[in-house]
Amino acid sequence: MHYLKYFILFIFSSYLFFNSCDVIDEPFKDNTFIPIDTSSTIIGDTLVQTERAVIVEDFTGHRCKNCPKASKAIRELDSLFGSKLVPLAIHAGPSNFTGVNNDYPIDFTTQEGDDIATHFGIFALPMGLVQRLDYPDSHQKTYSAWSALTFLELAESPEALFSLNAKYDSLSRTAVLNYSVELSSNQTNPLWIAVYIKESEIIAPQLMPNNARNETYIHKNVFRNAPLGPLGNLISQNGGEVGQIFNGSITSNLDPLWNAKECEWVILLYDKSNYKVIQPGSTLVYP
Amino acid sequence: MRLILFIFTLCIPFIGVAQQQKIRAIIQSDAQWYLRDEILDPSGEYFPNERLLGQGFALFTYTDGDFQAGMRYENYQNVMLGFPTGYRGEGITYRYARVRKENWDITVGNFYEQFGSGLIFRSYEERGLGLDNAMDGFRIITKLNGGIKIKGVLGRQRKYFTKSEGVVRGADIEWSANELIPALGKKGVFFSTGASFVSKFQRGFDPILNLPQNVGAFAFRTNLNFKGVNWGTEWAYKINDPSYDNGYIYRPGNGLVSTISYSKKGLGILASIKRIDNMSFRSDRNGQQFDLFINFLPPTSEPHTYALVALYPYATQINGEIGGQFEINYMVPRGSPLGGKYGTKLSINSALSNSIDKSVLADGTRGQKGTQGYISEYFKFGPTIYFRDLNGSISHKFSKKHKSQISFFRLKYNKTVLNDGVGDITLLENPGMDSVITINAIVLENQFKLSNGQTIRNELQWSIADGFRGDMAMALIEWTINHDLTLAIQDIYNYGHPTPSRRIHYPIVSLIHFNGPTRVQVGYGRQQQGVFCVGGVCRVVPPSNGLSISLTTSL
Repeated sequence: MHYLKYFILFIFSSYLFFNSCDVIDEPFKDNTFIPIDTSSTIIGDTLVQTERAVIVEDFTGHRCKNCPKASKAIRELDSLFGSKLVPLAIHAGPSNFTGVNNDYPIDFTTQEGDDIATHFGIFALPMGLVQRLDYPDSHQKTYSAWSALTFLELAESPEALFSLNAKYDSLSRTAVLNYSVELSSNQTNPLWIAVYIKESEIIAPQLMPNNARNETYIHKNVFRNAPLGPLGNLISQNGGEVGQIFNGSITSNLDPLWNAKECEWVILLYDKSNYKVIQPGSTLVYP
Repeated sequence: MRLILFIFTLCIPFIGVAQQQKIRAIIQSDAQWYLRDEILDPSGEYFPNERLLGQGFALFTYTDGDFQAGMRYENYQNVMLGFPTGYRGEGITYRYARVRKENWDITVGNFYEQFGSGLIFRSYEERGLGLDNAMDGFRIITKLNGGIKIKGVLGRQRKYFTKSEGVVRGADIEWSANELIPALGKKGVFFSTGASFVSKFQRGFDPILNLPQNVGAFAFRTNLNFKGVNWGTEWAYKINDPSYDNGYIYRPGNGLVSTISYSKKGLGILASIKRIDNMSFRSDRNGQQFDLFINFLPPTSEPHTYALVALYPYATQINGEIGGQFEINYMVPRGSPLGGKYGTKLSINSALSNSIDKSVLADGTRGQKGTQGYISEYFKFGPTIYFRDLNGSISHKFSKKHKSQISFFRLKYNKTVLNDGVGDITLLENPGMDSVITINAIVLENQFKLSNGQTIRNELQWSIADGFRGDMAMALIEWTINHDLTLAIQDIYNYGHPTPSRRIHYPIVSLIHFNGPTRVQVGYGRQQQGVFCVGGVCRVVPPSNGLSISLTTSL
């Protein structure tokens, strides 16, 4: 028994020492990911998706000093994955991060954005959802986890693909999105469509990680409104089969303060039973 | 879980059959009814929608000779302000079965454990913080001949109502020389030494980085005690562990804590040094706040209990700090001019903490993701002052019924780092942007025993700060009416706050009732926004106003 104890100890220690340390000599991967955007093609004036896409919803605020770090993470993902990534920056959450004052005079918050944040229980900023995975227990993801989750999601086969056609009347500032989504996998749960409009290249102050105020910060992917409401509409109560196609059209009037040329439609097909996004898509409002 | 419930069910019919069988319960319940306070929180951003928040737990332990089993039920409806909001809902969060027989101690299920001072492994619960990183797995402890004790652990850590994705496994060996060489004890020498190894596994998916999936850390420690002198030292090393905390750098981490103390009747001296370099160690590399820490970095500053000084607590800087602490306690003998009839206690304590040296790499970068991060000279101080503390006290008993203590404090508190959470790398890139506040404070405490057995204790506190919260004064009176009942009234007046609208009072009234093992506390008043720390680990406390009730009992 005496020697057995020492023997077990020796075996256990050897295992721990030799198998429990991965010393990395080269932190960066050799085959550096070079983005080749094959996620969609343009046929006439219609964008036709050919690959799976991932939506990253970044709950943010202009008075949140750590939020630019999350925006930077989005930019890194954007450079890697191109249009396979659908980023959306929702200014919502605690008012000390999103509220307006003399230094931060532009109100980026919206009622629909607040409703989305409330629905997903956003309690701190920056915080994100990746494809709305893992609802309701661990769906809130910190930005350091976004790249790995996006990478994993994109490795999956597409479950549905959008064809998107946008029209815009600059006189009436009326935007129309015609969509068609074809299922690539069988779905058994209720399917919903949510549609949002976002705007980029907005220059406005932002509190930075060093506590400085950046007056000329460029805000990207700012959530503007949700023409079908924060959670959208039902399109099929019983899911659908491979090859089944759902069509629809959404109209929205753009606010006069929004730059139509920097606005994009964002559309999500999701499984209402767990809110997991089956496929997101995006296209310019003013093609 | 089912196994443990099954064991419980089997055991219950036999309770009371033998005297060695015992079942115990500890129950605690806290609730607060929040009131809207437009002076304290003008925009209402901290005011909860629920109005009433409550949380509690019940821990049941069953013991039968060598066998022990237990479970803890927790309930958060919803979690109270300031605690991590991940605690939401209810459930059995802790359950275990344990057998201790001869030289073996085996636990399955949840357990808490610590190797050495915790530099590479400490699984513990601190309910006041909302911190619980209990392991769920398997633990074995055995004693060998010659004073050798071995521990092995394997499992995953608790994260609110779920568990970490990462697996933690570790082993610790400790040798007590006195068991092998009893003659040492006869000469007053007590020596022990130990070593530990801990490794975590977490899958690594990243499109850019090669992430280490297995991250190991090891530590060595010694402790020597001889004629009142005790010297304990622990040194730890961790291999590359890119994480959210360190900005995904690949620099190995290391830590050193060494404490020497001397004590004899009426005199105690303590000196300690600490250097921490990139020693955040979590079972989830993306973890934040105090989620899923595998290790514990002990603080080397005195935790203050007086309210005004406690508003400036020190939080251990896991990415790097260097500092130390020195303390002397001396009891002036009775009968001497200063000692008087009952003796006088003098105490002086000082602590300092700075950033460590973090020079740029050969390529001119510092702290960049995917690099070695920085170069650091081991004993060189960095430019950022984190914390300074010089405090002292004189405690004198004037009579059997009256004793007093006067304390003074001088703190330097880096608000940017300790309150706002800005890291030292950011400060190095933006020199001069941090705000170091100087606080001077004095506290007078008196305690009087009244002839009817009652006790009156009062505190008068005054602090002056050159920014941040500004100047404050506080008065407290605590009346112990009898053994069962205590009434306390206090008010903090933040008369010197830099913002005039924040120059307000923070009154609190509380009544505490004891009945055997039961304690009930009812309080009403304003809670100031701040940071609450235990053992150098801190959480933010939001401002609030309301009625709180707390019940603790054991059966």
